[in-house]
Amino acid sequence: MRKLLSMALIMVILGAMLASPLAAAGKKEASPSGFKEEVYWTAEGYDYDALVKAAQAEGSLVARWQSGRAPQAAEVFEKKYGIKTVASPRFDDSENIERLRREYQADNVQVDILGMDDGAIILSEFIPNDMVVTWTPPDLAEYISKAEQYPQVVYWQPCVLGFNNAVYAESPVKNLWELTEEKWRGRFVTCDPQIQPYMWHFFAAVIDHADEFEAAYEQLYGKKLVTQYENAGWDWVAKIFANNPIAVEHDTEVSKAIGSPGQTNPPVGIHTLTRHRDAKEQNLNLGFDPNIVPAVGFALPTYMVIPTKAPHPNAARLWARFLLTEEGSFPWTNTVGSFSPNQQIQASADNPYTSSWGQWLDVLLLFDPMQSAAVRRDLIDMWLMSQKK
Amino acid sequence: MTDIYLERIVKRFGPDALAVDDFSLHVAPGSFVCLLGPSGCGKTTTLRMISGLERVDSGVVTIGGEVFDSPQQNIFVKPENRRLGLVFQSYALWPHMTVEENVEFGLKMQRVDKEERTKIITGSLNLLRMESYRKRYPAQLSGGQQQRVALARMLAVQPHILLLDEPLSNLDAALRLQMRSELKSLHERLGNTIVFVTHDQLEAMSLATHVAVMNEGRLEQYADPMTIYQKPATDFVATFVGSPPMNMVEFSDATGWRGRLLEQVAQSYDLADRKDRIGKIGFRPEAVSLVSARAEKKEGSKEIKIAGRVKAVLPTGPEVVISVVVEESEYYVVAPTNGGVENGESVQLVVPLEHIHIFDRQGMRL
Amino acid sequence: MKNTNRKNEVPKKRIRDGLLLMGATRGPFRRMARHIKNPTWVLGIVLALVLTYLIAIPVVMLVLESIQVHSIDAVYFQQKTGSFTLNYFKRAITSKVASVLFLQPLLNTLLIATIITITTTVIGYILAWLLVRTDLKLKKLYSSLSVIPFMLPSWSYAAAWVTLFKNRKMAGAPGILEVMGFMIPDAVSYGPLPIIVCLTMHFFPLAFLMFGNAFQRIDSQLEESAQILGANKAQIARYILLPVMRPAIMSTILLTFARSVGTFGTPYTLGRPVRFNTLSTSLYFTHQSSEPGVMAVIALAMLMIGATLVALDVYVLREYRRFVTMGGKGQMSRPLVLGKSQWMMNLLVALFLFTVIVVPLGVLFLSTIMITPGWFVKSNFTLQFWFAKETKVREAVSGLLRDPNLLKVGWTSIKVAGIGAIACGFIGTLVGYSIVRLQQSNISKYLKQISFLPYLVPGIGFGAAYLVLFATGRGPIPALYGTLLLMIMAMSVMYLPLTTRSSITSMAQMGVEPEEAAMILGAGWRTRMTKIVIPIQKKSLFSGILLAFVQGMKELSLVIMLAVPGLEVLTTLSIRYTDNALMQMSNGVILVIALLTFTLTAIAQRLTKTNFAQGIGG
Repeated sequence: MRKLLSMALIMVILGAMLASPLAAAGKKEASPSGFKEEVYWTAEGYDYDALVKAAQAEGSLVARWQSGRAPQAAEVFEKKYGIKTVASPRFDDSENIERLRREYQADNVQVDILGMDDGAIILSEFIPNDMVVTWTPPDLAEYISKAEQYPQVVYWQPCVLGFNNAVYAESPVKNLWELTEEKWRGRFVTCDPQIQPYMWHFFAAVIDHADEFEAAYEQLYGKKLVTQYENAGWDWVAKIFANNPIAVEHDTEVSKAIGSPGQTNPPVGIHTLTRHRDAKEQNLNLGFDPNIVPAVGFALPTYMVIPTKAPHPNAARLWARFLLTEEGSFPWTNTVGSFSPNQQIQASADNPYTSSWGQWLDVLLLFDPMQSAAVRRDLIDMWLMSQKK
Repeated sequence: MTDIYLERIVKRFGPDALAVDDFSLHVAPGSFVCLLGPSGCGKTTTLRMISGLERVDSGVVTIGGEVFDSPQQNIFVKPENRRLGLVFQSYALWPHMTVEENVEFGLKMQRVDKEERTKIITGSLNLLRMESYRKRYPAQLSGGQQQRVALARMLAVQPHILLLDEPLSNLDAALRLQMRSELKSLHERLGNTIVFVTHDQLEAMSLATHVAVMNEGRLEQYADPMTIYQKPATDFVATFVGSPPMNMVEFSDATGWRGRLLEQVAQSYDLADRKDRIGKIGFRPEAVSLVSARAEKKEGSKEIKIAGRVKAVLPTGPEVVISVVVEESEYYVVAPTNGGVENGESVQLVVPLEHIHIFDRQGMRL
Repeated sequence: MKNTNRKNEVPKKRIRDGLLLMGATRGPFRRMARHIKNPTWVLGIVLALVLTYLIAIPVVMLVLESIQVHSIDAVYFQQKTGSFTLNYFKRAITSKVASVLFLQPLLNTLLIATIITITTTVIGYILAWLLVRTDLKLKKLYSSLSVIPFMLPSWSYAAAWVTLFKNRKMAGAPGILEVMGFMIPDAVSYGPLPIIVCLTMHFFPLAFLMFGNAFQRIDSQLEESAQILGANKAQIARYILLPVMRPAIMSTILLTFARSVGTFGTPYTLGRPVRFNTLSTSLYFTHQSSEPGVMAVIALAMLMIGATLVALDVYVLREYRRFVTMGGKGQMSRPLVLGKSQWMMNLLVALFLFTVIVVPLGVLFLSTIMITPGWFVKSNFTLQFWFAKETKVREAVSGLLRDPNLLKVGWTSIKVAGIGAIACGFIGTLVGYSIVRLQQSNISKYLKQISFLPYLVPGIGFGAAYLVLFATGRGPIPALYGTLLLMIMAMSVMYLPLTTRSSITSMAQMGVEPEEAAMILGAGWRTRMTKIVIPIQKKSLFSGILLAFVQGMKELSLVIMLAVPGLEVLTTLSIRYTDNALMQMSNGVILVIALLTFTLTAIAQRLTKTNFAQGIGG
C-alpha cells in the first residue's frame, strides 16, 4: 500500500510538472492584457469604412448570445458584409461567464463578442480584470443615453407582473406589498433566480428603490413600516421569499402558470413582456397593469461586450454597431417585448401598453448592476434560507 | 543438432519462494530429456527459462554454444529470437485463427514465402494426420486434435529444440498412449533435441533417453531411465519412480527386527564400521517373494526376511499387488500370481540381498 | 547428486549474498532502467503518465479549486486570487445556509441512491433470473428489449414523467393527466418518489445485464447437485445461487450507487420544483450562482463517496477470488421449467417492459405532436415541432427536422461518441493488458485505481478541468479547447472504467499462453499485440466500444462545458431547448438520440457479431 502511495505521488509530481504552465496561466489573469484600441474605433478618429474593411479582412465572427434570435441577425449580417458569422443562440449567462473565465485563464479566447444579461459580472469582474471592453459606435452615440452605454445595452426587455385576464377583469394586485400577504402565499410565480440569475436584478432593484417601497407600504396599510432589515426593500424581499413563491425554470413556465385557460384561482407572476407574443398561439390569457405601485416590474437590459483578446475585434465592433441599427435589431424590435436603446429605432406597434421605451421607463424599476452585484451574496443566502423546510 | 547447457541456475519468485535452486544440466544434442518431478518442483520454471519466457536470477543458459541468458554478463536473448518450439499444457491455440493459420503464423514470422509456407503446413499437418482439419477453428477440435495442432504449429518452424510442457496431461488414457508413441517416433524421425516436462513417471520412463528427476527446485538425479530405476541416487528418486513405490525400512529406531536387519545388511555389505550412517534400506516390490510363515526358517545369508501379515490382495490383471503389514508399516509385493496367500495370513517377505538399496541418513545412495 | 549440493554449500551462500546485494540496490530507478527494454513495461509507464495527466491532474485541480480564493471572491474575502482559504468548506458545512447548500442535499443523495440501488438490484436480479435461468418463452426478445432503457438519455424518463404527471399547483403548465381531469398530488408529481421510480427504470438494465452475465457463468450442475442432495428451489436460491452471485450483486450495488450519486438530469427536473436537492443539483446551482469554490467542495464530496465505493470494490474483488475458479470447462446450463406459471410470468415481464419502454417513449412522442400536451382535441395536434419552417409557438424556432443544425449536430454527436468509444476501447484494452501483465507491480495497481476514477468524478467538474487543462498549449501538447479532438478525448477518458474493466476480465481469461506461444515462434511485441492479443480480445473490445458509444451518445454533463459553437452535440441541443421551455423540441431531440443510438448499435452489433451487453460486468 505504501509503495502504491509513493508511486501515485511520483505520478502526480510528474504530471504536475507537465501541467506546470497551468499555474503560470492562472497568474496571467490579473496582468494587463496589452489591449490596444484602433484609432478608427474611437469617437475622435471614427471611420466606418476603415472598420468595415478591417472586419472584412478578418473574415469571420463568433458571437455567443443569450437570445435565440441571434442567428437571424447573423444571416443578414453575413449577407451584407460577407463575413462568416457564427452566432450561437441561447447561451445562458452562467455558461457564457464560466467559458470566458476559463478561456482567459488559459489565454485561448474563442469568442469575439458576448450578448449577456449579467451586468454585475461585467462591471465587477470582466472590465476591472481587463477581460472585456464595452464599445459604443461613435456615430450612434448621440441617440443612446449615456446610462445605456456603460456597458453598452443592445436591447431592453420589460419584465412585468402578469395576471390571468380571463379570470380577473383587472389586476388582482395593485400594490406589490399585497404579494407578501397570506392571500398570495404559494401563488406568486417567478423564475428560479438560481437558474435565471437575471431575476436577482429584480430583487436588487427593489432594495435599491427602498424609498418607493416604503411609501407604497404606507399607502397600502396607512402606517409606517417597522422593519428589522436594512430598509423597506429588504423587508419586501424577505417577506416575498418567505411567502413560498413558486420558482420555475423559465419565464414561459411563468406565463403558462398564470395564463393557462380553465383555471379558477390562477397565480400571478413576473415574466418578460415577450411572452405576450406567444400568448395568442398558446391560448394564454395574459394581462398586466402598468399602474401597480410602486412599479409593474423591472427593465432587463442585455449587454454586449467584446473580449480584449477577441480574435476578430473589428468584426465584433461591426456586429455591435449592426445590432444597434434598424436592419440589425429587427429580430428583436420587430416583435413584441424588445426595445432598442437607439432612440431612432421604433419598437413593434403590437407591444401592449406602449411601444415607446421612454414611457416604459416610467413604470419599471431600473437596477444598478454594481449595487446588484453588491447585494447578490446576501440575496442568495436569503433565498437559500427560505428553502429550508 | 543443438545442445543445452544450464549452469547453476537460480530462480526466485519473491523473497521466500525459491523455484529453482542451483540447477545444472546438460542436454545432449538429439536427446529426449524428461524433467520429472512432483508438481511445484520447478520443472516448468526450468523449461520456461530455457525458452526465455522467464529470466534466470543467476547462472547461465547456453544453447548451441551460444549464451542466451546470463545476468552476470548482462546477456539475454528474447524468446522470440531463440528459435525454439514450445508446446503448452493448455496448447494455447489462438482461437481466432484456423488450424492452418495457427501453423502458418510462425512461418510468417520467419518470412518464409507463401509457396514454401503452404508446403510446410501441408507437410507438418500430414505428419500429425491433421491435414483434413486445416480450415477448422480450434474450438471445433477435440482435445487430442488440438494437441496435435499445437505440436504441428511448433514443428512447422523446424526448431532444433522442442520444449514440451506436460502436453499429454489433458488427454484421456488411450489417447495419451497413442500420442506417446507418436512423439517417440517423431523424435526418431526428426532427430531434434526435445525437453519434456511431466509429473507422470511412466511417461518419462517410456519416452526419454534421459530423465532428470527434480525435487524442490533441485536436481536429484540425471541419468537414463533404466539407471534411474535400478540405481536411484537418492531415496526421493527411489520412492518417486516406480509404482507401487519402493518399500523402505527406516532405521531411525534400530531395535527388534529392524536392529537385526540393520546388522545383517551392514555385515553383508561390509559396512559394519559405518553402521550408524545407514539411514534406510529399500527394495522394489517385484524383488520380493512371499513365503508362508510356517515354512522352514532357514538362515540364509543371501537374503533378508521380514515377517508380516497380509492386509489386502489387489489383482491388477497381469499381476497381483499384495500389501503386507509389518508392525505399523505397510509394504507392497508385486507377483505374477497371489501364490495362494490369503487375507490375514502371516507371511515372510524374502528379498535377495543384491536387490537391496542402501541410503545414508541424508538419503544419498551408499 | 546431493553430494554435489553439499560440496557447493559455500558458493551457494555467495550467490545468496549476491541476491541480497541486488536487493539492496534494487531502487525503483534501477528497476525501471531494466524494464525500459520491455515493451509491456514501457506501455505501462506511458499509460500511467498519460492517465495521470488526463485523470489525476483534473482531480487535483478540483481539490485546489475548493481551497483557493477564486477571482470572483477576491474582493469579498479581501484575499488575493489563488491564496489559501477554508471559506468554501465553512460555507458548505457550518454556515447558516450549509443545510440548504450541502448537508440536506448530501442526505437526500444518500437516501435516493440507497433506495434506487435496492430497487434496481431486486428488479435486475429477478429479471435476469427469469430470462437466463428459466424456460420463459420469448426470453430472447425480452432480453434485447430490456437494454433499451439504458440507451435513453438519463433525463428522458424525467421528461416523460413531467409530461404525464406534472401538476399545476407547483409550476407552469399542467401535465397530460391533469389536463385530462385527474388531480395529481405533489408527492407523485415531484420529489423523491418520482426520482426513485424514474432512475430505477433507467438503471435496472445495468443490474439486469450484470446479473444476466453472472447467471450465465454459473454451472447448472451446482444447482443440480444441491437438488440431488434434497434442497428445494427456495433453498437452492438461498444457499447456492445467492452466495455464488454475491460478487455480482456487490458490483451491481456499487455501480448503481455510484451512478445514482452522479446523475443530474432526473433530480433536476423532478426535484427542483419542490426544492428537493441532491448533490448534483446543488452542484449545478452553485455553478449557476457563480460559487465555484462551493461547487468544488460539493464535487469533492461526490468524489469521496466514490472513493469509498472504490475501497469497497477492492475489498469485494478480493472476496471474488474465492469464486473465480468456478465455471470453466464442461459447464452446462439447463433452464428451470416454469410450467404453470409460464403465462403469468410472461404477462408480468411483458407488462413491466411495456411500462418502462413503450409508455415513456410514447408519452414523449405524444408530447411532440401536441401544442398543449394532454389536451386531446383535434386543433391541439400538430406536426409543426417536427416539420414547420417556423413554429408558431415560439419565434425564430424551426421544426426539428427542418433545423439545418440537426444534421450537423447529430453528425457531431456520432463522431464524438463513435471515435471516442473506439479510442476508449483500444486504450481500455491496452490498460487492461498492462494491468494483467504487470500484475503485482505498482504500475499495475496504480493503473487499476486511476482508470476507475473517472467513474467517480462528476462529469461537469471533469469538463471544467479539461477546459482549463487543454485551453492552452503545454509543452508538446497543443491547445485543444474548441476542437473535436478534445471532446473525443474527454469522452474516451470518461468511459475508460467501462472498457478497462471488461478488458481486465477477458485478459485474465485469455491467460498468457497464447502470447507466449507466439513469442516462441518469433513474434515481436508489436506483432503479438496486433496479431494475437487484440484479435483474441476482439469480442470484448467491440462490446466495450459499443457500451462506451451508447453511453457517449447520451452524455450531457461532460460535454456541456466543452461544446463550443459549431461543435454542439444532440444532448446539449436538447438541454438548450429545455432551458428555453421548448419541451416538445427537447423531447423530440431525446427521441432522435434514442433512434440514432438504437439503429447504430443494432447495425454495429450485426456487423461485428457482438453484443454490448457482454461488455458489462467483470
